[in-house]
Amino acid sequence: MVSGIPSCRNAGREAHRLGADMDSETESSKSLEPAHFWARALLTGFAGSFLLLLGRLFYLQCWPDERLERLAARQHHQRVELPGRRGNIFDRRGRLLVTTLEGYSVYVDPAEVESLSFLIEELGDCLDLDVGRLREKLEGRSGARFVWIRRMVSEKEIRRLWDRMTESPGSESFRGVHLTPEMRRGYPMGNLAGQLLGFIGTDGRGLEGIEAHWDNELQGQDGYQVVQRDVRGRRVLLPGLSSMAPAPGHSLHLTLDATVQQIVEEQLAKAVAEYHPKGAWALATDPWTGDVLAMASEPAFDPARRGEYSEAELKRRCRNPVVADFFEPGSTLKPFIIAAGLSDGLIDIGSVFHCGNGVLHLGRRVLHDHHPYGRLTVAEILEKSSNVGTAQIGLRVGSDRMHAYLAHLGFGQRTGIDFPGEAEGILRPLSQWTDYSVPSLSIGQEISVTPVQMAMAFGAIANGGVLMRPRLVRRIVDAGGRVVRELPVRPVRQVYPAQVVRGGLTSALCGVVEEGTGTASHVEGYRIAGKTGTSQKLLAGGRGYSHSEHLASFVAFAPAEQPRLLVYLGVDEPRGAYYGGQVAAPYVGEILRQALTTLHVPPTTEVATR
Amino acid sequence: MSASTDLAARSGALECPSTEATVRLVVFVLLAFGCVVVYSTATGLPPVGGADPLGYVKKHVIFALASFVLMLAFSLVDYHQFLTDRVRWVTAGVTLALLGIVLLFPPINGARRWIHLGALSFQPSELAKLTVVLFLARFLSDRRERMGRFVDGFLPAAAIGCGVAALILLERDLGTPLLLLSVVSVMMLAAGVRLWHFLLLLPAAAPTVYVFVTSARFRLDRLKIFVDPWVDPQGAGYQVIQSLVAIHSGGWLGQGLGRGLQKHGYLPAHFTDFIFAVVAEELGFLGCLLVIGLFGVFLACGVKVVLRAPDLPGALLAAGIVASLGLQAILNIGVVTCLLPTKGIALPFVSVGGSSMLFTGAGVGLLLNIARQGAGDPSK
Repeated sequence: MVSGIPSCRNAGREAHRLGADMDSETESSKSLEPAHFWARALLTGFAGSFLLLLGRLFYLQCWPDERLERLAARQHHQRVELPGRRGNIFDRRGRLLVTTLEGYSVYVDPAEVESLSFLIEELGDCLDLDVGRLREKLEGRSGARFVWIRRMVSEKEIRRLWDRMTESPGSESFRGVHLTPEMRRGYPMGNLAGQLLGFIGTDGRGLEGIEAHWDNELQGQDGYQVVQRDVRGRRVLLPGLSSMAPAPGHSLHLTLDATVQQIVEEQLAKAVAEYHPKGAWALATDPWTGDVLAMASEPAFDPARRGEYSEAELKRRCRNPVVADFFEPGSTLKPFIIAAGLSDGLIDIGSVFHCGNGVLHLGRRVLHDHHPYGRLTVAEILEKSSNVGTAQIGLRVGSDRMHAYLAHLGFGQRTGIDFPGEAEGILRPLSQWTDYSVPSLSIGQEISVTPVQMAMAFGAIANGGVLMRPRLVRRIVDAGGRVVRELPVRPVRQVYPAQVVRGGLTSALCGVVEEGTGTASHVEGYRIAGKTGTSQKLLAGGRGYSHSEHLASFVAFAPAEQPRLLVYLGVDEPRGAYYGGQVAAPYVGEILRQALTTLHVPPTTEVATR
Repeated sequence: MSASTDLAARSGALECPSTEATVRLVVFVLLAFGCVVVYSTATGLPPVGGADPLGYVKKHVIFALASFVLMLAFSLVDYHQFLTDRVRWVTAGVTLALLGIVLLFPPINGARRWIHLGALSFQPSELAKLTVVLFLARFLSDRRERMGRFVDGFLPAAAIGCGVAALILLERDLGTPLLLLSVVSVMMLAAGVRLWHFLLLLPAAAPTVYVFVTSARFRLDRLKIFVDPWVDPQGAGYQVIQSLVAIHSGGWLGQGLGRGLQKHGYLPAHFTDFIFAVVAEELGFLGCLLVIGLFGVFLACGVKVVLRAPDLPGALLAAGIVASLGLQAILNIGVVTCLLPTKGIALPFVSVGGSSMLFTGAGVGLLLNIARQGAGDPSK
C-alpha cells in the first residue's frame, strides 16, 4: 500500500536537519528501523481490521436477519386506525336524534409523570375537575400506564390545556398527559326514543335498536395509515407509507316524529306513575303509510347512561316490547272478526244478535260477558265489547274464513319492520284448531300478537282495508347529503273491501269512544274510532288464565273520517284497575289530543262552546 | 521550508497529489461528511436541555471548521517546536493538572470526563491523548540506546503510559486508557522496545484489568452483552441491538440521508459514539465503505509519513498520532457493529465532541508538518 502512493522524496529534504539533537544520518536510519517495521505492522493491522469491519458490515447489512427486521418493524411502524365517522339519525322533520361527537379525551400515563402535584393542580384548573378526586385517581398509580382523566373534553377546555402544555417551559412538567381523539355517540334530545335508537358497543358496531338493524348503513368505512414513530410513540413525518382515507357512514331519516314521540313518552310515564304496572308500551303510526311516528315503552332506556345499568337491567330495558313481545290481544281483536263477517256479507252492521244474557254455552265450556246483554246490534256488540255477541259472529264466519282473514292481517308472521328482534306472535294453523277455537279467537284468545302487528292490522281498518308494512326509516342519505336510498311505502294486501271498513265499522268504533267502553279517550273536536282490550294473562305453562294479571290496552285512530294517527297503548299488569277503557284509553285520548294539534290536524267536529 | 520548494515538489510529482494534499483532502471530506451526518441526526431526538434543536449542529460545524484551521495552522509550525523541553513539560503539567481537576466535577452518566465552564465543556482525556504522544516522542527518542533494556528502557516509558492511563481510569472511563496504552505500546515498539518485554507485564496487568472490569456492574454487563446482546434486549443489550437494527436497516444503499428512524430516540448516543450506525442506516453498506475507505487512505498516508519522517522523534510522533486515530476509528466501528464490547470512544472527524475535534485537528496538523519535512525513501 505504501509503495502504491508515489513518494515526494524531494519535499522538505533539507528540513529534517532542524532536529537539534540529531545524530549522523546512518545512525538515524538505524534507529528508525524498528519504527519503520512497526509502522508497516501497524498498517497491516489497520488493513486487516478494516477488512474485518467491512466483512462484518457486509454480513450485517446485506444479509437477511429476521430478528432484526422484526424488531425494526415492530418499533418503527404503527398502523393507526382512522375511524370512519358513524352517520347521524334524524327524525321525520330533520331533527337530529343521534350524532357522532368528535373530540379529545385526556388520559395520564402515571409512569411518565414527573411532578404529580403540579399536574393535578393544572389539570384540575384547565379541565375544571375536583383536585381531591383527581389526586385520588392518580396517586399511587405509578404502576398503571393509563388513567382516564376526562372523556370528550369541550373544545374550550382542551384549547386551554393545550396552550398551557405547549407554553410551559421545557414542556417536561406536563409529561405523562396525553390527548387522544375520540368519537362518541351524542344524543341531542337526551333519552328521547332511547330504546328505539339503541346503542353501539365499544367497537363502534350497533348492538341494539336502529343502531343495530341499520349498522351497515350507519357504519363508516374505517381507514388506516401506517406511520413511522419515534421512541416516544410520536409520529415521524416521512412520506411513502401506505394509507387509506376513512369514509363516513350514511345518515338515516326516520319516520319518527320527535314531538309525537315526546308526547307518547310523557303519557306512558304518567300511566306508569298512576298504575305502577310491570311495564307499558305504546306506538303511534300513520295508518296510510305504515310509518311509525312514535314507539316507546316503560321502563325506558337512556343510551347515554347505559354504563350505569346492571346487566339484567340493561337487557330488560333494551328489549322493545312493541316488536319483541306478544300476548293475547283480547277484545281489540273483535273488530277484525266483525269486519270479516261484514266483508263476507254474512252480517250487517245493523244485524241483531241475542247475547244470551251474558252466557253462551259451547259444549262443555261457558262464555261470559261482563254484563248480561239481551238483543244487540253488531255495532252495539262492538261498543259494549260483548264476548257472547262476537263469538256468535265468529261462529257465523267459520274457522276457514276466520283463519284466512287473521292470516291476511299479518298475525302469526313478522311484519318485516326494520328493527331487530321482531317476534312472529302465534296464530295456530287451522289443523290445530279445536271446536272452541273459533269463539276463543273471536274474543282475542288462542292468538298472540305483537303491538306492531296489531297496529298494522288496525291500520287496515283505518285506511280502508289495506294492510301496510311498518316503516321506521324513510331515507338513507350519505355524508354529502345525497340520497342513497328511499325506502318506499309498502302496502301488503287489501284485506277488507274499503266500503266495509269505512262505513259501518268505523262508526261502530266511534261508538266505542262516544258511548261504549272507550269513552275515557274522548277528545274534544275530533271523532275517534277505538277499541278497548282487557286480556287476562296466560298463566305460566299455558294452562288457564290469571285472574289478577291483566293487559289493559286501547287502540284508536283519529280523525275517524280521514285518519291521520293511530295509537295503540298497552299497560302490562296494572295495579288498582285493569280495564283497557279505564287504564289505557285516557292516555291514548291525551296522546291523540296533543299529537293531532302538533300535526296541525283541523278539528272535524264542532267544539262545544259554552 | 518555503512555498517555492513546495511548489517545485508538486510540479515534480504531477502524477499524483502529495501525501500532504491527500491528507488535507481526506480530512476535509471526513469533516464535511461528519457535518452532514450530524445535521441529519438533528431531525431525531436532540440532546436534552438545548432550546435550539440545531444548536449542537451549529456548534459541531464551528468545531469542524476550527479543527480544520487548527490542522492547517499546526502543519505550518515545525513539530520540533513542540518537542522542546519547555513545551513538553508545560503541556505535561497542564495535562496532569486538568486530569486532576476533572475529577472534582460532578459525574455525567457515572463518568467524570468533562470540565464544565459555563456553556463550554472540555474533555482533558482528549488533550492527554495528544500530549502523551508528544511527550513520549521526545522521551523515547532521547533514550533510544536504552530501549532494548527492560529496567531503564521499557519500564520508565511504561510507567508514564500507565500513570496517565490510571488517572483517566479514575474518571470511570475504560476505553480511553486502553486506547492510550495501545498507542504508547506502538510508540515504544517503534522506538525499539522488545515485544517480549510487554509479556513480562502481563502477570501484573491481567488482575488489574479483571478487578476493574468486575468492579463496576455496567462493565460486566457490557461484556456479557457483547457475548450475546439478546440476553437483555430492553436493558443492557439495548444500545447494541438498536445499533444493529440501524445498521441492518441500511442494507446496500441505506434508507436515504435524513430518513433513518433509529436516531428518533431508539439509538442512544446517536450523534456521538454511535454516529456510525446512523451512517450505516442512512447510507447503507456503500456509505460505510466510503467512510472506511477514507480512513484507510488517511491511515495509509499516515504510515507513509512515519516511514519518511526525517528523524526518530518525528517518526514516533507520527506513529503515535496515526495509531491513535486509526485505533479510535477501528474501536468505534468495532463497538457499533458489536465486534467489541461497548466503550465510550468517538469516531474521529465525524462524532460530535469539541475537544476530540480540536485535538484531532491539531494532531493531524503535526502529522502534516512531519510529512512536509520528511524525505527519506522507506524502501532504501
